[in-house]
Amino acid sequence: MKKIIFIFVLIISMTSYSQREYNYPFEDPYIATVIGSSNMMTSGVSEEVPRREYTIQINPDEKPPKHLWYHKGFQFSLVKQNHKAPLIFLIAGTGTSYSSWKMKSFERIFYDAGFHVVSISSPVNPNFLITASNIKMPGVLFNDSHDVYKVMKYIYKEIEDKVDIEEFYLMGYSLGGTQAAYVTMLDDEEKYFNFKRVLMVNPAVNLYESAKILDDMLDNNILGGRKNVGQFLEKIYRELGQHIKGDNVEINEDTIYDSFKDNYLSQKELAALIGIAFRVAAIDVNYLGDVLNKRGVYVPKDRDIGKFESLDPYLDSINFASFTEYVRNIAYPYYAEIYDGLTLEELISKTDIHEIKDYLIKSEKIAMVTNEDELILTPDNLKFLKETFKGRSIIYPRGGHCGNMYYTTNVENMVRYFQKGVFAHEN
Amino acid sequence: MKIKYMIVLILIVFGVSCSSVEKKSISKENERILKMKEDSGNYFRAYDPWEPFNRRVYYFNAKFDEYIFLPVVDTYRYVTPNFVEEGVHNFFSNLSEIKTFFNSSLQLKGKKSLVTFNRFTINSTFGILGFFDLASRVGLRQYKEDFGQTLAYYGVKSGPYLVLPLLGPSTLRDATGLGVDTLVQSYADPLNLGDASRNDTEFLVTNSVDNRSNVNFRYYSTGTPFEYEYLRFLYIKIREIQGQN
Repeated sequence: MKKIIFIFVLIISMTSYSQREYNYPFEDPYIATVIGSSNMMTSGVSEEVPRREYTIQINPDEKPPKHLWYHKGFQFSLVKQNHKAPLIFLIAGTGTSYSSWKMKSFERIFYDAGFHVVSISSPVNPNFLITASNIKMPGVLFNDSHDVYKVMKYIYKEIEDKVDIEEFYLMGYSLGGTQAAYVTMLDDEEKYFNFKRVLMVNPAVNLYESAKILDDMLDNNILGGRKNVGQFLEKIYRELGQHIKGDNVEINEDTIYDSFKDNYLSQKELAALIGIAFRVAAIDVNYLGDVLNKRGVYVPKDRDIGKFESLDPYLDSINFASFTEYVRNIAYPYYAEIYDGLTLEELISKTDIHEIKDYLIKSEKIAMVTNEDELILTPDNLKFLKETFKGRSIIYPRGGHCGNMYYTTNVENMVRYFQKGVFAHEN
Repeated sequence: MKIKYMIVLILIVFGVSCSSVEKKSISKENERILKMKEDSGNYFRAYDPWEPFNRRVYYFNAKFDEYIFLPVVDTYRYVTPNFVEEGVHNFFSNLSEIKTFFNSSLQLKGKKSLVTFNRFTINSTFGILGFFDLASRVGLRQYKEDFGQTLAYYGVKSGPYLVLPLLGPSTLRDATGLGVDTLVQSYADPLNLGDASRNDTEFLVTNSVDNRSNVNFRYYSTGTPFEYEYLRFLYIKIREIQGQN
């Protein structure tokens, strides 16, 4: 009976917000994505939290290439309560580091809500790839999530005698949200952590499709595509320079924020900027996938790059390569060698959460939040999420890609879900 | 402290002679880089003929940070009450107005000079030698100008990228400017600090620690294999934008 009531509460409580009652200020998903909610952090969240960084060895027999010497071990952080408390693992979004501003913001929020917090870099992040990845060719969801799960156990061994843990929770945003579902599935078999609740925030459904959308943002919104990225940025800088000239002040977060607020960059330009930001992560993945596996695409196979050597020639040959190019030119040939006869379509299906659909439908401990105007989802992707998670989801009307994660309403719902198992909103 | 002046002088002499000799070749070099950027699609290329040296200084700076600078900064932050830290920062920030005033005057930027002059006067008197930034509270915003920008204003190109020991990213032009600013700052001395600002090691160390304490950047912390390239690119871009003001 209790369970039925619980499910009933879930169903009535986790439905979509209507336009009217959600006051998130940015109508435009591109503006939302770029500005995020940096200026809207829930007031009263602690500025400083007791945070410690750790470096541990996951693959002690492996040494990074000479010129990547500074990746001496796997890094993560722990924010710790000084009493017994639940612990929440956070998985960062595509390529993002455990110590990014986004992760630190979540740490502050969850610390105040009474959790220990462990932040884990994205498996696509250079430090993760170099020091902890098993197959150093990211993208296949099962492989990457296996790596995350493995890393979590190492982390737990490192911290278990330092924190008093009540139970385990898991959350990831963007690509990290997608991986959180896989990690939960792995753990359901192994029962190592026995996660009590899991939240996917703005997850991707099909990595290849999402990557394509982000790749296109650069390629379609800059006249002449990637070979004019330079020109495009020059133009933005120039405009930014002129805009700032009026006030005669320094360039900082606020002035950039103002220039967006005044609609002084067009939607096309904003989209291009998002595309460029993701492309910078794609450049890393292209390079590391190639050099760590000696694929010989950008860096000759037998080339051992020295500690102080210039990387300009390789940056030249990468030439703003996209995620899709990474899949086609680096990852696919590699996996085709391992799994004889694997087609590109088969590889792409391994980057799609559809492969665990049955698990997601019945896994009650996993909830999901996303936005109607989420940029990285195709209409089919969004439909899939709605049908799969039904009552265990909130679809906010606005927010773009992760642009409303720290908006007051979102934060309240997120925290309440972890604390009580229900979202606040009731229709 | 004579060594400091020697370094500054060397930088100036070196800088001036280099820039006059290289002026032609630099603009040629710039054209070549622009062409290379277009050809290669690598927008992050920059004029960096001293890269092997720069990369080693970069490495040195990271190690210096790790073993000396950051531990000192952390200790400083730990033992010093926040309001003192802020006061110290305001004090040095107020001193830097001298350089801004000097350089905006050289660039004939009247409003900037005037506001900076007023800020300095208010903060040095009512703000007790600059420990309190009262000027900002009455709505006088702080500007920043340096001799590197003045040189840029009069058409001097940035020259080769240069990673300075302890100080980090710069260019030949900006490093030269830094030397001039340091001299101006210590000789102008309107606060009558006397020898303190010139000869006192503690003064220099505190200034450096305050500076480092207010820069969040950590070497090799971004994790990307291309951090050196990106930082070089950003530095040069930001200086270009500042130059437009």
